[in-house]
Amino acid sequence: MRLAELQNLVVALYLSSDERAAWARDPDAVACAYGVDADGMAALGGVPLADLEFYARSLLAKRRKEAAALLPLAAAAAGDAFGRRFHRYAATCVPAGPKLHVADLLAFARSVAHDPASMASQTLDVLRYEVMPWELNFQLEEETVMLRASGARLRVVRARRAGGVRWRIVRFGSRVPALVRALSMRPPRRPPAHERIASVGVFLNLPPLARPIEWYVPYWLRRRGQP
Amino acid sequence: MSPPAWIGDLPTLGPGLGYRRALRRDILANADAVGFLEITIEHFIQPSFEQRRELAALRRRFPIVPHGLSLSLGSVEPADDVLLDAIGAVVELVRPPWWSEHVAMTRAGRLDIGHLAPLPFTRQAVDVLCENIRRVKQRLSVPLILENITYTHRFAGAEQSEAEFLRAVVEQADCGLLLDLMNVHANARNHGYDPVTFLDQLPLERVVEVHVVGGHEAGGRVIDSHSSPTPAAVWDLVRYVARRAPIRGLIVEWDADFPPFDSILAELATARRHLGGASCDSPSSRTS
Repeated sequence: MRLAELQNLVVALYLSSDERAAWARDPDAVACAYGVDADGMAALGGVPLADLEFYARSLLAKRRKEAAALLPLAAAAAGDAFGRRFHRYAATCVPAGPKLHVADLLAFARSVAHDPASMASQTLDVLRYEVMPWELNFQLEEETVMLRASGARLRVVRARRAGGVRWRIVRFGSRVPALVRALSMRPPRRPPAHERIASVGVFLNLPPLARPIEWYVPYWLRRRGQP
Repeated sequence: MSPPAWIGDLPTLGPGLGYRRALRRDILANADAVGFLEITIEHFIQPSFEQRRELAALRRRFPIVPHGLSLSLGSVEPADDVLLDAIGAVVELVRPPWWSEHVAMTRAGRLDIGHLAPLPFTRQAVDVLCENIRRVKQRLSVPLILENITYTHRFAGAEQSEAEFLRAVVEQADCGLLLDLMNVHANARNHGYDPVTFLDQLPLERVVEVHVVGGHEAGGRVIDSHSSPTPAAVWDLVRYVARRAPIRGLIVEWDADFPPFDSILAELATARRHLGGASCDSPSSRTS
């Protein structure tokens, strides 16, 4: 049996709904695309598609749970929307390497940052806040893998620990300490109106300190033409 | 059958816990009830200063056994040397009596599944596993034990049963067994076989460690979610194995939905009873 080829195909089926759809339509063509021989076809052919789908769903659920555990305030603030948004991101991006949960949460947070309308502004703020220690301590690397049967592209992200002093400046729609307090309550609440002023957060990572140093400065955005 | 001499030389650690940061305070406050800790190696790869301090503090109080997830010993494509060195560094940091990985695959073709996936039960797969284990043993001399996984599907055309497959791997590679009895229970329920018959086909003299914890049922399947008390049926299997194998350690592998810590302590107490009151080595030998 061409075991390496079979393993390449099996992993692609676990991770890609496009590859599973191609497999359902024409398993012989998919096996040929991956170089899987008759023995490999026979081995995989005995696995019901429903079982592959179940396993694929369980992988996504595991990723979502891990991300929610690492971003508890954002997950609580977003409710069901967190899962829906995560699944949309996870359909085309997979983490890899020994720090794959860190890679996943960094890539997810960045995908939300590129599509801010996909989440409520307060959820966005607390997500930016919660991801900051990871942003400051890890670098995200990315490559694209083209799947052989469907031609679909999967982004593969890896996280590597970053050394040294790192810093970020982030704009928030609320004062972050008040936002974190409000969202930590059960059920989560909105911060009081007087705390909902824009602020700029400065985050400085100074190893060996465990958490970054944080400063927040409120600012008032002046519209053009106004004094 | 007698175990290999190197297994006979391993210390007895008794019941212990999978280390989770959320349980840290309770674990330290109840250290006398915890025989040893199992850490997930990948959590401590490229450790930060804080993580090194954390490991050192834990190491002063408990024996630590590292448990790996990402070596993918069943992959034809072997783990690269950078990953092997990183894993080796964590293992060597905690100076364990043994460490563990899985009879499984987690990646192929630059894609990472993010979970443990089954292998075809074939002679070729045994040889792939043994070659990867041989490479690992060249890098790391700490004894390696291998865990059986749970699986939702099996590949057709198997040349041997799962038990025969596991036996072939651990005997050919001269490893110990980490017997996850919740996985045995889940697979037996999900795939319709008798767990005791399965256990009888394993080389129980090579069992070094046992994992227990409960899961949940969904879609008619038993899921090993590591999130509930160990079912009575799994404790039955613990008693069955304990009568036939000198279990060195048992880990309650609770990962999610943590209950009040008293419930976890109760699991440890139950484990102690089912292991037949097997005593740990004396406290003075717990850290070396």
